[in-house]
Amino acid sequence: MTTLSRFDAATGSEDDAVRGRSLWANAWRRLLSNRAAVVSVVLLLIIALLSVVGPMVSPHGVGEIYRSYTKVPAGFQAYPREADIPDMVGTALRRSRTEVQSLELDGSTIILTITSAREIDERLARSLARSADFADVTVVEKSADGLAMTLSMEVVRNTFLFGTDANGRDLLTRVLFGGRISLMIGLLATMVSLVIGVLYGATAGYLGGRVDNVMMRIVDVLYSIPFMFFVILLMVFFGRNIVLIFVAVGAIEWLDMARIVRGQTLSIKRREFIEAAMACGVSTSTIIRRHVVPNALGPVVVYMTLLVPKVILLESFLSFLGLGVQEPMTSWGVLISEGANNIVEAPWMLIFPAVFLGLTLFCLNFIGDGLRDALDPKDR
Amino acid sequence: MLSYAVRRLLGAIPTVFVIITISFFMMRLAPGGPFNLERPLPANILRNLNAVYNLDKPLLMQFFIYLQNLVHGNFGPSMVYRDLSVAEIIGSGLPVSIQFGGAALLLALVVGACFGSYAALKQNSMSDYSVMIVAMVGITIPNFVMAPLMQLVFGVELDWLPVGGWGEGALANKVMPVIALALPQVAVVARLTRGSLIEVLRANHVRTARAKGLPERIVLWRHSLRAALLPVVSYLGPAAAALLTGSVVVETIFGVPGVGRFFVQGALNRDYTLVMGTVVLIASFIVLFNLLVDLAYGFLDPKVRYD
Amino acid sequence: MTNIRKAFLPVLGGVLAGAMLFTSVAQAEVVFHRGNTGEPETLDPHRTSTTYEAHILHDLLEGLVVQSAEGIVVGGAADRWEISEDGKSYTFHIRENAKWSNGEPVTAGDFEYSLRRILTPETAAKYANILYPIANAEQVNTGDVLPTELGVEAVDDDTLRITLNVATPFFLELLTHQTGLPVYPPAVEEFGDDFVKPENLVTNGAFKLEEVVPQAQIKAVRNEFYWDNGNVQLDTVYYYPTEDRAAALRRFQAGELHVNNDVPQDQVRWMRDNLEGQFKASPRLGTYYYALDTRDPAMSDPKVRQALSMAIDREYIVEEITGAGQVPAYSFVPPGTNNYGEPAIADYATQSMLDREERAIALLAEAGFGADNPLTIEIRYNTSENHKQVALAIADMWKPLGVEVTLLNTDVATHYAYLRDGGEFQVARAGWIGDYNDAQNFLFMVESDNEGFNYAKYDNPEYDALMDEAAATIDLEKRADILRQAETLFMRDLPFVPIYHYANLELVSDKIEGWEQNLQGRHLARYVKIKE
Repeated sequence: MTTLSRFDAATGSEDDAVRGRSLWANAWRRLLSNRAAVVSVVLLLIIALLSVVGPMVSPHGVGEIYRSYTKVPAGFQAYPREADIPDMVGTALRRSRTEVQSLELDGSTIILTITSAREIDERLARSLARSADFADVTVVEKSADGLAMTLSMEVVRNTFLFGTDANGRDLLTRVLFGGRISLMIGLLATMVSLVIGVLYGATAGYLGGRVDNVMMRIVDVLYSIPFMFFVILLMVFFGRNIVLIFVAVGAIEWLDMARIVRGQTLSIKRREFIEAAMACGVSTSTIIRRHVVPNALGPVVVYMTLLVPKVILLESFLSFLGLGVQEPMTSWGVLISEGANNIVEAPWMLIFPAVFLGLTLFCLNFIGDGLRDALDPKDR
Repeated sequence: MLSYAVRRLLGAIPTVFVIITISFFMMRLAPGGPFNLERPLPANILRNLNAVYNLDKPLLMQFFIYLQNLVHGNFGPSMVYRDLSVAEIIGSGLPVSIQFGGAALLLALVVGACFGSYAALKQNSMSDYSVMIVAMVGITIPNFVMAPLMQLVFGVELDWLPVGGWGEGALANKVMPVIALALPQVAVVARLTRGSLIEVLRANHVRTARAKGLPERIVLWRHSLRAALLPVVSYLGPAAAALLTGSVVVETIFGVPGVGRFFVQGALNRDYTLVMGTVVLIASFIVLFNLLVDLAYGFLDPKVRYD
Repeated sequence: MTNIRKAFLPVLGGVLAGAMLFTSVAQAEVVFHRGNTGEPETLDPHRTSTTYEAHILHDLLEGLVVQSAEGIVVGGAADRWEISEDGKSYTFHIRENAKWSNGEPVTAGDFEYSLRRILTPETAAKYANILYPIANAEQVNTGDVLPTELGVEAVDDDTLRITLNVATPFFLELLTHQTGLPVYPPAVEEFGDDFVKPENLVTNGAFKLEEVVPQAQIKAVRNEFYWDNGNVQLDTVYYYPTEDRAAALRRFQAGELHVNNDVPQDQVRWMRDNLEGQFKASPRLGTYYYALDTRDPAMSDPKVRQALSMAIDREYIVEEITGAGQVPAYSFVPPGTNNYGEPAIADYATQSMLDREERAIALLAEAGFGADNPLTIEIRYNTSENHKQVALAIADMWKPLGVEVTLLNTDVATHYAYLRDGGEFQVARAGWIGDYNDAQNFLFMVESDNEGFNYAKYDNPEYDALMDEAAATIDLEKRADILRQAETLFMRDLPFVPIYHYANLELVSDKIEGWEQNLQGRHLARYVKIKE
């Protein structure tokens, strides 16, 4: 079979629809038979689902601060550890001018006896309850002179599977939450570069000549203007808005794609089947959509999988300038750059978001390969 | 082809002019100025500074003064690094950045293309997957993570290489920065090469060549790789422009005296003249490299014509 | 093939160069590697504005007076001086053996020339205002009178007389600032702005400039003509712009840096545990604070400002968030500031957090805020260091008061431009490092006419009157009393809420001697010695 014969069918407009459907149906069938791609799709869906549902079901809020647990390492350890409890009580009682006389621990119940040179303030119990580490604080007994008091309270135990950050926030919840923004940005960048980048590139490349020249010079201009000022101006004129993240990312992330597709198009448009289609009087837009784009899909798909990590990390730069996600919300990009600062002291702050980002990219990679194989017009 | 290149270079002048104009006004619309520091300056002193750097004139006039100086090849003095002119900053940093970026680019192209072709030839085998997994790791781990890790391992723990610094330009000081610059690009090039080579290998002329019994090496070199590099080259145009004009992350972490650090500092400090110098430089690189890329298309695929 | 060779060459070269690095250590030359925060903007002492420029400049140039290793004012290019009864006239006698690096003697005329130069409007010196106490200095700087009218006179080659507007008890302290450093007049006349280039710069300090590689290193070598050269041990000093503090720490660990004058804030615990005392923290002359916009309807109520300040658990912030030796701030002037004594500390400093919170809630209720009418606050901060962590922790501390907080971060230029240009805000982060060691250098910030510094737009005539009175008072104790009254008003009205006093955080190799801790974190290389 020759390339020409495979594509001539599409030139007859009356059976376009039928052929079109079968093209996509075929691609779909072939994608399903690619095991790596299917597994990746499932895994990616799981990550997406975790990002959406995880923060809702997590016992820790995304912005919830555990003041006693800053930079706690990852693990199954429940906090506080028993050995730390006396210290914690000490911290909670700091500046209350009391001394711990005895401290008994029974399961999660603490029986605490304190003494003081002055009468002990009843509000102390509330102060302990406020610390978020203790619950059900009750005064069991108070001596007649008020200089001694026995309290009973429950230790609130928390587990931080991924550890906590510098403010004492649960990293698992934050990593899952970060997935929402990051996946959304990845998706958006993909859409923008697919829609704008591919069409723009294909049009410029196919039409060639002066049109191509002007279109590509516009791309050059966009490449060269300082992105940072663009972002700052967006913020100055439109305030802070999550939509602006997408505008900022969308504005520049299709450029590479446009150049790649144009490059491919320059080569594709000289091939026989395009010339044949032109000879048959097929309209320019149809040729671009039906013949040029499908044949340029290989690099498009590969580049798309490279683009996603790029924009996810780019978002952390936007956050630096104040345009990105705002605390207490977060994203993988922000978490990774925070983690990079803590590489030595709290490596878990880097490892977990990086693993999630990495997993996502692996999935995208295999999906991309699968898609490319499935859509390859030469391979049917 | 020559007339095409000449036409393109002439066309670059209006392009760069548009870039300069947009950038100038964007920069000036952004809040802050070169003398807005963490420590505020009293009004008297601000007045003196603005007078010295013409910032007290109307904006449009400042723009024309800038253009006029630029036409005479004068980028003006840096407003923050007051001992240096913008030309001096670029003159001292650009050769370094070109050296580092160039080495990284070459490394990326050679290693990336080798990895990519290897993976493509062994498509869907174990070695394909392992090469691609390594590449994905290279893409996933950003520079600002990779560079500190390299410093910790090779500098602090193993003590093989200096952790950072310029070291009077010693080779040992260049190894890690170049590799850190190259790694993400290696990965990209490998992925792109693999993807397009797989396609090219399925194309008719390659099948024909194979059917004729030509050795695989010749099939690869003569019939496939050139065409397969097309998307890589498209990608490398802007990427090379970015690499050769310096990387702020790698330069800052390793203490490399390139221009990338000045550029970002310039933007953060609102060092207006330095920002504009940067813009002109980057625009020239972009225009030039995209032209080179377009010319390279003709070499990679003889069917591509210039019109 | 050639490409592959290119790829491997650096590795081979790396091994060779590494070997060379080791041999250079064995030479007798004493080389000091100093990590120095950032790329200096200029080496012209009259245009400089940053502390890391000061570190280099004080090694290259020597003012009339200098700070000792401990931070005390001692003789520099002048070995003695007299102060007139009224405190307005200073007569300096230039040291007999003070010489420039080309062997020429340092003269009183050089200082006269230098002080006139820095105040000339065309020099556009960022820190000219430090010298405004000198008679006519401000008028010269605004271009109203000629530089020759400046109250500085070279009586003869060895005698310099400086006349002040009013008695200024911290004037000698001011002269130790880098703005008081001299330039070599013939070089400035000959080379103009290029006099700072290594080949042109003539110095009178312990070192002279050898090489400048922007963004990489600055190399200074011994000045044989320096009057105290015999007591200087170092032959060569390298200054590195260590903008990335974490990378600087790694270079320090690998022995590439002897000292670095900053540390990565995120690795304080690790450094404490692993660097065996080479991580040094000492009090610094500076305060980290939140400015409250007194124009804001809610913030205009002093009760609200008091409540917000009370509820901040500063001990928690310095222990858990910054954790590096910063001091909780209950006054704006840092403890230990010269000519001051005990600062005006807020009364709640010693109360328990519980009491403070209750008081704060009551105050907010009086101001009309509570559960049914919650106060909403936006904290603005610039994105760097640990500002975000501090803002998050404070937001969490304000939560029990029923205050709802949102955060807004921008890059540093946007942040300060916004504050400076009078943009409206509620709470904004800022910090102040004293230029000279005097309480006035802190309290002057919220004078009502202090355009630019007074972010809070605080306007209290009583406060202004006290500051004016202090400026006219010569008796140091009386003056301190008046300033303390002003600070009491400050802490009552809280235009700025002090959070913590900064610390000098440094990495100092245990091979280094003569690196004494001082409030301004100033360390002259001439005092430094390297043990073998």
